[in-house]
Amino acid sequence: MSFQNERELEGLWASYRESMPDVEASPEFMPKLWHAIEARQRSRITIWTKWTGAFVSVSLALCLVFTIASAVEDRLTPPHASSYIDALSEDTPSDTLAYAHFQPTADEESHK
Amino acid sequence: MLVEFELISRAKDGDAAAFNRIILAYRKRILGTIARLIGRPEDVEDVGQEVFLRLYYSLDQLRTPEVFEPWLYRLTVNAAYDYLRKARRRYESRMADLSEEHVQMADAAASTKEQKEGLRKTGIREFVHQLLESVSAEDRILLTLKEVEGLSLKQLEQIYHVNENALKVRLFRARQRVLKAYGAANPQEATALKVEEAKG
Repeated sequence: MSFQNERELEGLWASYRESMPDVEASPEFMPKLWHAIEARQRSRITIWTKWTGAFVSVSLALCLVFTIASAVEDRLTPPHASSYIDALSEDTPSDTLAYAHFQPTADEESHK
Repeated sequence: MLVEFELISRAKDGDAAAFNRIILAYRKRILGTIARLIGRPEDVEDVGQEVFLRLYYSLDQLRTPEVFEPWLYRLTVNAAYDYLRKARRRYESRMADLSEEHVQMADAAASTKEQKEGLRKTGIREFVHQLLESVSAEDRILLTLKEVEGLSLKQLEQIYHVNENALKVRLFRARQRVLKAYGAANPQEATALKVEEAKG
């Protein structure tokens, strides 16, 4: 790659710059551009509407499924006949203490 | 700047009339740049449409109106780059590819001085386009912006968001690649090189 080539190339860039004609936009340039802008806006709105619609549909379907599931569960489970205290004492009977290895403390022993 | 900062701010806020005035002000310059970057007159307007479309949808991301021009150049460069990557097809029937006989016939047919001048300019354009086709789209765009558009390193820094040293390296490498292609495309130079090699 000689300096001659570099010089020639520099001259070529300058000639190229001069040889390029001015580019004028056609009369349809602006209408076409605004048409493209509006088309893209419409497509963006359509996509947004589709996503929103899909999201609402899925949410409604989930609500419906949970409502039905909870209604079915209510029907299958018998209503509580006893009070909360009764249910609690049934759950933890007094003989459970035997399993807890309850040991009286030294004070309690001396009182005896 | 071809427009007032205030006009850019208005366009940024969604003023369609202001946006229209910006396009009218920059249209010719941008189309000219695109023509030199891609070298295909038939597609210049389509790429120009893409540039202004991208401008419309990204104007709200512009930090300050002061950086509008580098921003617009950046959009232009990106659109041209996308185009060149997609349309990496070779020139079909072009003057540079025609046989010598065809060129002589075309030259003979161009009787007037204007026609001959037009033919000369076409020849230069075709040769430069052919030369730029032989390098990557990145090299092509960078060299065109520097050598043909005449942008300074400072302006290129703003467009490419890289420092001056990195740009100089990129430019040097791009120039070397084009010089290599030029040496290969220039038969006289190729012959001279062969003679030099034979002497060596």
